[in-house]
Parts: sequence; structure tokens; C-alpha cells
Amino acid sequence: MGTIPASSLLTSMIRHSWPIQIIGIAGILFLTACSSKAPLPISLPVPAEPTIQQVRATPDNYIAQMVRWGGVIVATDNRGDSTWLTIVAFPLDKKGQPIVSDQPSGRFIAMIDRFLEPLVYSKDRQLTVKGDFMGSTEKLVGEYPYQYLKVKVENYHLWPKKIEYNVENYPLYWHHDHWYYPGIYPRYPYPYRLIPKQP
Amino acid sequence: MNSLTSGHIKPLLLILTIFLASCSSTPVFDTTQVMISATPQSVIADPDLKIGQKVIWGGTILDTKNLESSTQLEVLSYPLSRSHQPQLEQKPMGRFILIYPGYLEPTTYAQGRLLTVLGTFTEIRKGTVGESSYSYPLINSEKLQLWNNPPRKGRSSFQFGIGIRL
Repeated sequence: MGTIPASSLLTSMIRHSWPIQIIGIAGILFLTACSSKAPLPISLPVPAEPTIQQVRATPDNYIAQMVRWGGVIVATDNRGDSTWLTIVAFPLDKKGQPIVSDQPSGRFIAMIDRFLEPLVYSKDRQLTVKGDFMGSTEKLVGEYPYQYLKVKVENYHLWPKKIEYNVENYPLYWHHDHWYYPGIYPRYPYPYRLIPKQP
Repeated sequence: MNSLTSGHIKPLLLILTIFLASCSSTPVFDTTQVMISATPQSVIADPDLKIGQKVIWGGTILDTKNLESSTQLEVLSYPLSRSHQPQLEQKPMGRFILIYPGYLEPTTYAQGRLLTVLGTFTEIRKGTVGESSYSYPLINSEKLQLWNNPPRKGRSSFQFGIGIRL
């Protein structure tokens, strides 16, 4: 499959009227191939890969060590030439993307050496950073004195927003839903609408 | 797959629903020594008899406050299912305040999330809702369980979520 251009593969499938399932699977493979966009420094593990929990337990042992952490942005602070992002961290998957759940691993502050647009690097967006651990600093969450870990960021990656759709008027061939992607099969006669979920 | 018609799918969905429903009825908390019948409203009516008793209550988080060494959640309680999940379609049973001994991440224990707590009823605290005075039962939390919020019902009887990367 690697040597055949994807476009000619698709057209030959349609010409020979291959079952819609196979075209759908090809579509999924095609989309999966597009989706890993993280730069290498973010998707590759760092040496030792210290976790937030390990560093929180004994921060002094990890000063100036390289870490790769990620999570959900809760606050964006533009200060002079740099931007400090407060992040609620989660474990990372193989690509380096945070696996958001009800079990956060803790908070950290990502110090990035440039201006970042706060409307883009905003609350609830997912970010993974790589950089050096710089020790911890106490800041209040409500009235709780929280020990934030600080990271001087070298590389960072903002993960694309995932838009969830609701499908209205459930179709007869419900098992085809997964394979409907707007823009890829625009002419397929589906009798229902996709409604973007409001965040 | 193509031979499946709506005539086949409906019974299949029914079976699947029954199967899933049967999985979810396991209680998440141990109910021994728990005063099952107590609700925030019944506790307020007769607090002295019930101080020190264990309860299992659940509902929607209205407010999260991180205090110096604890976290305080204000919860609007609902009747619980057999698996101790709050049932939002039923009538609410009053508010209560939950004290957790330590830090809870406020972005996880956020407003609107559903939770169930096993804890000890310790006292009644006077507070206000708007300008009305309100008596909150206080619960010292021993075990917490967060739930995924049920999907909002739309116009159609089926809803389906798919994710698309842009």
C-alpha cells in the first residue's frame, strides 16, 4: 500500500464499487496518518522521564533535570517577554499528549521565553512541554498554599481542539456513522445533520 | 453487516442496554453502618439524633473552595441509584457541605460535576443562599466518587458523539 498514491487507490476503489466499509477504513487510516503532528522533542521521551509525583516528593533531587510534562491550561500570565502558563498535569500517551481524566498528577508552571497569545493559549487547551525543572514555588489555590513545580520550557506543543459532534436523526445504517467525515465524503447521501457540541 | 436492518438493530440495542444496565448496579460504597435513609433534609429536621452517623449522599457540585488544609464542596443532593449514582431526573433533596481533609484539584472537582460521598455527619452550619438563610449539614468525607455527567437529551431519541480532528 505504501507505493500506491492514496488518491488513485481511492478512485480505483470507487470505480470498482468496493464496499463502503473498505473505503471507510481507508479513510480512517488516512486520518490517523494526518493526526500525529507533534514535533519530535514532544513525542519522544526524555532521559529518566521524571514524573510529577516523583518530583513533588523530592524536588531538590531534580533541579535542572530535563522533564516532559503536559496537561490542561488553567491560567495564562503574560509577563514582559515571557509567558507563564499554569497547567494541571496528566500522564502522557505515546505521542506525548496528556490523557485527561479525573486523576490529575498535579500542577506546574511552564515558563516560556516569548509572548504567547492568551486567546490561543487559553483555559482548557491541552499543552505538552519539554524543558528543565527549576524548583518549586508556593502560590495559593483559593486559600491552599500549593507547591507549584516550575519548568523552563525549551519545546512546547499546543494540541488541536477536539470538536465533538452530535448526530441528529439517527440513520438506518447506523454503523456507517464513524466513517462520515465532512469534506471527505461530501456527496454521500446522509439524511442527518452534524451539530457541533458547544464547549 | 449490510444485512442488518432496523428490525434487527432495535432488539440488539435493547439487549445491549439491559446488559449495560445490569453492569452498573453494583454499589460503589460499602453500606455497612451507613444510615441509608438519611437525607440532608431529614438530618436538618432532627440533627441531634444523627450527629456522628455515616451517610452516603451525592449530587451536583455547586461550589469548590480550597481552604488552607482542606477542600470544601457545596453539593445539591439528589436521590441515589442502587450503584450510588445521583439521579438528576428526580427531585433534589437539599444542599450539603462536604469537607475533604486535603487538596482537591478544583478543575477536576468543578462546578456541575456529579459526585457521591461516603462520610460522617458532624454538624449543621448556617449559611446563605442569595439572601435566604440556609442550614447546611456538614459531612466529613471518607470516600469520594466522581461520575461522568449523563449526556444532555436532544430532540431525537438517539445521540451519538464522534470526534473529529482539525
